[in-house]
Amino acid sequence: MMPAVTERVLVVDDEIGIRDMLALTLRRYGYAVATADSAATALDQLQTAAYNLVLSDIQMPDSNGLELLARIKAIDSDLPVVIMTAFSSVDIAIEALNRGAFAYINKPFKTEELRSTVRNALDKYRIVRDNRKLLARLETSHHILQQVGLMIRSLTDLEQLLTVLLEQMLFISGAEVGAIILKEETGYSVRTTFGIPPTHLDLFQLPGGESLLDRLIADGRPGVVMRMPDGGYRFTPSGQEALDTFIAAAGVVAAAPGAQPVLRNPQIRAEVGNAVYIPFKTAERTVGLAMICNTSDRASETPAFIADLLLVTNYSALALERARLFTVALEKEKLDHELRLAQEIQRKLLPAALPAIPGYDIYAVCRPARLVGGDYFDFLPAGESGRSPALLITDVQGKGIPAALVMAQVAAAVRAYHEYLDSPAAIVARLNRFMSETHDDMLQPFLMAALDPGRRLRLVNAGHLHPLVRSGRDGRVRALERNNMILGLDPDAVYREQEIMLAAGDLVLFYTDGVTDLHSDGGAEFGRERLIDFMESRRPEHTAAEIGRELLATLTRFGQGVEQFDDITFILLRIA
Amino acid sequence: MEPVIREVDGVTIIEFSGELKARESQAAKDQLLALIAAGKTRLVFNLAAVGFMSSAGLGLLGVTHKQVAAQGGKLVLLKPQEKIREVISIARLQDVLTVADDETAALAAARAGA
Repeated sequence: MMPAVTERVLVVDDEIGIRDMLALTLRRYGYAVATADSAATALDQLQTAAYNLVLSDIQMPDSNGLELLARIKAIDSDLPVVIMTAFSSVDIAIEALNRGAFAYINKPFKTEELRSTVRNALDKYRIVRDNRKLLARLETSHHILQQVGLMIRSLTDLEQLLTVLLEQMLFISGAEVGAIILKEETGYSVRTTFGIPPTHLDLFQLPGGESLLDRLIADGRPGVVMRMPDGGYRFTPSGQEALDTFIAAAGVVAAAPGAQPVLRNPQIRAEVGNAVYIPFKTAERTVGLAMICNTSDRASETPAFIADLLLVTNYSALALERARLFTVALEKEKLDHELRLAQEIQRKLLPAALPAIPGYDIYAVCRPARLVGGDYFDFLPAGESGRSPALLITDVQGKGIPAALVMAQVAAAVRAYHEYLDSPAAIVARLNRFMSETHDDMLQPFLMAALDPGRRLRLVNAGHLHPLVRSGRDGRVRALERNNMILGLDPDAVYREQEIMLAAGDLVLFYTDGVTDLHSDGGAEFGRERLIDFMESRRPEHTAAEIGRELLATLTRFGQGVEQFDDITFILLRIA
Repeated sequence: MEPVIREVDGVTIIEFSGELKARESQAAKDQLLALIAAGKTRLVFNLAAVGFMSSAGLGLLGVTHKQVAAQGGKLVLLKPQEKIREVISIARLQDVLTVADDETAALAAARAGA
């Protein structure tokens, strides 16, 4: 295999006839030849030009071959030297071999012997040079891996790891602008940047408008985008292709066919010279993508830097994934902890037992969603001065601990108001003022009813879903449709009670939207119609508890296969 | 989808679409507070393309109303869909803010008292 570059031979001999003959012969073989008539001239030439081989007479007037050999080795210890000898100087020739000459040939020599000796010497030199380069590469790669390995071992903190990885990659490419993004369920998140604002990462779009960043992170492929002399940009989709392209062109980048990316903001064209995208991939998935912009000329000329970048990403992808999973696990644990706390708060606030109120058969339940949804109900005891017992049902806006805390405030406030205010209307008005002033970004549906003797309810509905009443006489279901303003909207809102006269056998249902908004596997909502149907189909002799448990069972069946999204809460009153 | 904002005769019309749940409401809230701080207190929410509104969405309407009302402004709801109309009605939002069925009426209501 002939090398791409012409090899240069230096012929050193004091006899002009030999010099010219050798030069002619070697040029015929395709080598470039320079000649020197003495050791001194040879050394001068070696200082000013590069050679692949020195072919030298061993006996010359101004030095013997051994001195010249030593001087040549001092300049370049790898440069092969072939000694030409006459029979009389065989001893010296052998000594020369001992001192590092590649070979000797006896004058007069056959041209074939000359040819093969020269060829072997040049091949050996090339192999030694390549070897040295490879070793140097290996050392650099080893060094990089060592560095990266050290960092990976000691950093589980995702952000730290990413920062350090980006620094390594910028160092390798001699660039000052870069970023690392991590793949998410949909799209990606920008995790660390250097020299570029996170909002400006989306530099290129593909024909059709798709973001290049979206495409690359979805595909998990490397890519190199380069600005061409005509101002446009070209894209080589495959990292390996880019590698080959760099290697083959030895610094001159040939544009490969492929989609041409367009710079989104033409005004920064002068600032964007190139962009290298390298994915982080484990065996299972693409973890992320590094973007390095404006790699230095030095880096761009040596194809190795892309290989080095790939080295870093391949090596660290697994560690990155591990750190990411660790973070995800931590966050899940925090969330689970919050869920447990919120459920605990709600459980403590809800009444521990159902009250015994004469004339009323009561069932009440709250089945919380996994992420507690803020439903609450309570039963307030009768007062000494003849004040009726009361019930309340409400749905605090929001979820989790924040909702649970507001729930606690509302529970405490209502109990306090109930101590000194007589009517549900007054209590609700007071509560509304409290909510409007304390939580100015929340609206809260709230319903309170005093259970008077004589089967009378005094009800204040503040923006809550309308209760349903099933007549014990004819089984028909009607909604109690009067309502006042939801809590929290207007501190001065006026609240009016509604008096409901009930009869024996009547059934009253108070419920939150967790009941009617319950979704089935097929996407249907339970809805008010189903609730009315349920009420209508109850038997008057069933107790509140039986009906309540049946409703719960119905809802459970309906919502099977779908995670319960909101608290399911209802109170059933059966009038004795 | 992000709400689309445009201005007509000193009234800011914000077009919502899709679902108005916790995430969308939180994102919109920041935008709206910025608008109101910039003096845009005559607002119309076009809800024609909103198919579902959670309690968080309702809360967004509430807080927006309170903010603009405090500055002498007005919030008008335009073309809410049936189910959302029900939610608005149960909460009696219409006692403090206007619900309109066409843009002309909405703009007029938003400008009223200006």
